[in-house]
Amino acid sequence: MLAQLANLELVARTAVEGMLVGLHRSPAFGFSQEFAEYRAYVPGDDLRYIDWSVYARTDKTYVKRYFGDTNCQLMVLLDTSASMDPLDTPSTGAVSKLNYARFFAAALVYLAARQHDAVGLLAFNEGIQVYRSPAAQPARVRTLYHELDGLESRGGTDWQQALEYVQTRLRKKSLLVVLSDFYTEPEDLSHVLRRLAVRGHDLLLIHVLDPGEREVRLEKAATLRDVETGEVMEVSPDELAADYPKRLQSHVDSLEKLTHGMGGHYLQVYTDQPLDRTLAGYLRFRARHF
Amino acid sequence: MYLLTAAFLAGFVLLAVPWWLHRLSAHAAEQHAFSSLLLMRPSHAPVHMRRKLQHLWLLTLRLLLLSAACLAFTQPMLKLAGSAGLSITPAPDRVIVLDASLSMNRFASGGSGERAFSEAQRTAHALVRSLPPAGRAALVAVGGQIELEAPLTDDRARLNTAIASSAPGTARLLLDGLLGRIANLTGTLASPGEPLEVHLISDFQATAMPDQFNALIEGSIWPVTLHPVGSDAQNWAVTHLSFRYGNQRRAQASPKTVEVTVRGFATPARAIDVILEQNTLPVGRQNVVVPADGNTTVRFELPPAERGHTTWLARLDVDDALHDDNARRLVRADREQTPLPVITSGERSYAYLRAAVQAAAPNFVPVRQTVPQDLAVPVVVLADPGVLLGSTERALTRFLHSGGAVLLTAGPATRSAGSLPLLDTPLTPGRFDQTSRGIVAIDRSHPVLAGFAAWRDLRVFQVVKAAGAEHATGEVIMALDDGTPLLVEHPVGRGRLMVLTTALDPEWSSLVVRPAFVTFMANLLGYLAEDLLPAEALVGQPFAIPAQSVQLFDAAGARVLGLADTVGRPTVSVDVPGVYQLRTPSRTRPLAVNTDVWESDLRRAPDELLARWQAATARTGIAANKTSVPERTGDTTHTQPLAPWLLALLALLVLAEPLLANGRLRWNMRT
Repeated sequence: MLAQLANLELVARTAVEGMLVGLHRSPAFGFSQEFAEYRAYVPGDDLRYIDWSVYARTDKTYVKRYFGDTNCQLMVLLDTSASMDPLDTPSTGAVSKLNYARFFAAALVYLAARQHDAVGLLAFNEGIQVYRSPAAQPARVRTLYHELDGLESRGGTDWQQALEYVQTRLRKKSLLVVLSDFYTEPEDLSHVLRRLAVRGHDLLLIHVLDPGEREVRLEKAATLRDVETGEVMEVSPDELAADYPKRLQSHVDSLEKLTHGMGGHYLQVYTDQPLDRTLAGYLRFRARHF
Repeated sequence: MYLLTAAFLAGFVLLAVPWWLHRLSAHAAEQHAFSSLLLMRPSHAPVHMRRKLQHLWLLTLRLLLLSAACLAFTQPMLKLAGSAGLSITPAPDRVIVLDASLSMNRFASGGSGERAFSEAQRTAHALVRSLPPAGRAALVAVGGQIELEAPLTDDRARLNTAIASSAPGTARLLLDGLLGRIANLTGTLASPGEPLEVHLISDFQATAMPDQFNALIEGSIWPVTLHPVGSDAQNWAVTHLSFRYGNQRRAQASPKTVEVTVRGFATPARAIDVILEQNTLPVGRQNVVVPADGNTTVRFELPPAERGHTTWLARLDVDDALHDDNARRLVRADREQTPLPVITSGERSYAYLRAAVQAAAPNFVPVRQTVPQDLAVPVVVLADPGVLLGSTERALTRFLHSGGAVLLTAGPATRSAGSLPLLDTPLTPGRFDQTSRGIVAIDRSHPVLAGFAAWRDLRVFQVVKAAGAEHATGEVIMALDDGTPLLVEHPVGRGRLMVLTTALDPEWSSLVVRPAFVTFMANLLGYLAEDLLPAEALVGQPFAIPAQSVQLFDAAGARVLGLADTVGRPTVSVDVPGVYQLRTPSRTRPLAVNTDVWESDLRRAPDELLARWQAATARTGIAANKTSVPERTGDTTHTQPLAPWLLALLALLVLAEPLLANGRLRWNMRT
């Protein structure tokens, strides 16, 4: 488990640092470790960031703050329903949606920790699988890697329960990053997401899809079974090729519209897309909002 | 085959098996897991229906396959439109009966032309040709016996082959009860309830008809159609052959003359040469005039006979309709002089015995002895011996066990001795029943009683009775009317002991004073010496051989009947005329087998009798309402068997089913 944890953290660190190297070469992002200001020490702050020279001079403890230190709170909501890792799905991706989302969530955790942001985790499916309230302590952050590594996909998706769970526990405005394949009607999401937006939370919906779901290719007519609901449907390749892309685009558009309508941001990624690129998209979102 | 047959119904139950399997697989379509069907829409063309349809094709194919297999075995028929004019209702199966007796070997006229049997074969072939499609027939040959030449079959080739390969024999056919015997045979040919019709092809000789008309139809259960063949033809035959001793004592004589009787049947007066051969050597030839439809007897003087058996052959030199009866055979066995040891204690018994033997069995020479001196004889007589010396009894016991025969008669000495010698059977002591008793023949078929009918008139005054059931091991041939055994045969080792419980004495029974006593003694001694072998027999007629182990050889020396065929006292028959040899372990005797003179009269029975017989059997028994005569109706249909077509369809389905099941045949259903 520790070895796996180390791998997940390592993956996250590699992805983030690699991305940051790229970002530092580009002045456009403005993400740096330049000293920005001092802030009075509050219990719980990392002692490594106490400016001891200031303490020597003033007998007061101040914590250094850098550019990029936003002091925001990040909450990662990870969908662990069965659709995130089904069997036999026509897929061309190297990893399942759950694993991709898991890695991305780990990268977010690492990035947040690097930025001294508090980060929490909610893994949900038809119930609450894991909940960790946001925290910046390294030990708590390492716990998140552990939890992420132990997640398994199963069951259906109960959005309402998951989002209401978060809503009742987050007292501070947070950045809510929702990682899911969003196989639900946008209308079912809008009510709960809107309440979160009203409370001042920033929403980032990351729509994770398998390349096989972008283009469903069948050689012959087949019977498909929904891994969450068990519903069975007979589909023909001709009809699928003609209509499915349109319905998928329509669904994506609906989600994006819904998200933008609440002041949030929508990001669609496929599991064959490099993780750092996805992180870069996330950072662009952050840069615009923080 | 009936549709309710259990096997047929079970076959149809099997049709449910593929249906059940298809139903199971129809719902077990392969499914692919997918993240969500939110963005999917069901196909307008029912995929399941397409798969269902493929399944349905396969299901239909398999059901057809099983149905074809079931139906093929029911041999269904299809009524099809046939040629106009005649409607033949399904005809019953036919039993074609061919007369294969001697008379069917006749020529049409004067020794030339077509044989009657050939005409019968043509008639049989015509009956086979006239069978309806899928109609069946059987072929039976009747002569001395009834033989099934071909069982019920629709194979015309087989029937025609059987007809062509059949041939007439030399036996006599009796029409008395023939239909009953054929009915018994047909019971083994056809299933119960299946109608039959009998076609009897014969020359219907007048001499083959029974005395009473009912005997012709007795036992008949099927309608019979008579097919007379052959025509009345002139025929002469040797009907009788015998030899005469002249005026000499038979005991020392050899035959001096042979008499030959020639008979003409439906013949004009004609001079015919009669030839006689003795031991295959010609003796004489005489030209005699046989009166019209009459007979004449010609006598031949015989040359001195050589030692040994003698055979005579009398034949006619005439070209008539039937040749097989133009010869007749006669044999005379040369019975060598055989000593007959007689051990007796009474003069009277010996006297009566000797007189009977000399009169009826001259080949036996009675020799009175007190102790047996030479037991290289077939028979020893103990005539009231009384008490035997121990050495004598032991010698006689060895004689019996080695295959010899002993005739033991009772008497006063035996009664005084208190036991029967050799059997060591104690006799009931005390006073015996003095009231005369009549005789009851227990085994009338026994050779000892052949020609001895006078036993009914005999009275027995005294007998010896065995104490207890000592006679139980023997075969009681004759008994008194109170059940007391009179003549008992005991098997001892390989030999036989014949016990007469009365004495050869008029004070004991009236047997010895009756002329029949001579025949009785001749039979007794002949039986014990195994010398009652028949000298003549008729072809095809069973005759008895009163001997234990007999073999029959023909003139060429080939064995006709072996020991296995003649176990016990068998009844056998011979199919070919000629001179045979009967061989027992102790002797060889010739046997003359001749044709039956009744077959020589080739005249047919009156047409009125045949018509009456035909009418009486036309609508008989079970098939009374069925007829094989074609009926003129408005329908023009005939039946066509479907089994071959169903079997061909079955073969095609067996080939097609795996192709479809393996998916090599694809259906493109555009939706």
